[in-house]
Amino acid sequence: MIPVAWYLILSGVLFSIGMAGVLIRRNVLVIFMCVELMMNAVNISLVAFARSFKTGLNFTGDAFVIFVVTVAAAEAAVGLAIIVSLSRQSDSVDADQIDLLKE
Amino acid sequence: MVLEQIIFIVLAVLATLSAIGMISMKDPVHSALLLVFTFFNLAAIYLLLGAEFLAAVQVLVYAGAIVVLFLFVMMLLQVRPGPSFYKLRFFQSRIGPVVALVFLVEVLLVTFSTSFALNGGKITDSNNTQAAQVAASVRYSTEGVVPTADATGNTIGGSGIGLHENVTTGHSALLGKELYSTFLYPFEIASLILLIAAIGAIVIARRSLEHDTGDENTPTEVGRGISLAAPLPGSPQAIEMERLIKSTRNAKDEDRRVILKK
Repeated sequence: MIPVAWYLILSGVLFSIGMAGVLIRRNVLVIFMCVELMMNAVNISLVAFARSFKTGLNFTGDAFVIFVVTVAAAEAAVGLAIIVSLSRQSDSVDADQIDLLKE
Repeated sequence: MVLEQIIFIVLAVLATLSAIGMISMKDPVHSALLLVFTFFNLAAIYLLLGAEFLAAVQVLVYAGAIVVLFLFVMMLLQVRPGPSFYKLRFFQSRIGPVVALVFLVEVLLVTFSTSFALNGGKITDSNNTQAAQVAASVRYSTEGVVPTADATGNTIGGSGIGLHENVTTGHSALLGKELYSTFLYPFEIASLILLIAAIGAIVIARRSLEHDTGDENTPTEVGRGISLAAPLPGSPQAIEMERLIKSTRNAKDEDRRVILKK
């Protein structure tokens, strides 16, 4: 039997790693991957909570995970399309060089 | 039980290490592959949680679809390896990990200071009269009895599967029932989100037509470069096409074919 705190710790660790990746890396593609990792971390904690607060059958957390996966897929599709069209314009996927609105 | 915990620890350590490797790899392709490895470990953790359908979705959607999409985009863009971890600016390379570490400490503090502490795996919240065990690997299938034959006599599994009444069903059937009953409207909205995202991705990533008419399709000789697709109005192809069509209007069919073939 695995305590729910273990899942929460794993979730927090993975979320922090993803957050560090978003803050450190400048490649837009890697930043996107880190966002996906953060979503996965949250999913783990959602399912763990759904199993821990079990009053009868409770699948709300699981259903929520399904929706999170849906939104993550949509976000990946649109985000990668933005990256593709952006790299056609500026020939770079570096987040530091995409500063059209700065001037 | 101890075996379960050992498996969890191994999976969690592997997932954490590969996630750290993901954010520290120079080449984005290596990052993507390590991300796949992380996702597989997380799928196994879903199995430990008793969520088989979510494990399958994890492998299919995340490792199978999203990461492959990433790899395809990298192939299209020919992404060069970025600047390494240590050549970045001060704020990015020093302050970023510190901020993430502070966040991690906050999460751990909250985890250990609330009722989810590691006190034998019980929820100590007194309001929870259920006093449900914090059984992460809950054996819900022994109590998750779904009547497979409802009032109309239709069985879920159809005929010939061997399902009989009061058979214990797994995670997928229960989650499907929940999605199509309680979460019906959110489910439909999710499908709408996917549709909008697909259309939006096509619209955003499409090469705009004005950019395209320039280089490779310009006819170098008269009569060359005619494609069957309709050219843009006003472009050289369209003018050429109109001229050809006018000149062949009165010709016989064989002549027209010959001219168009040129």
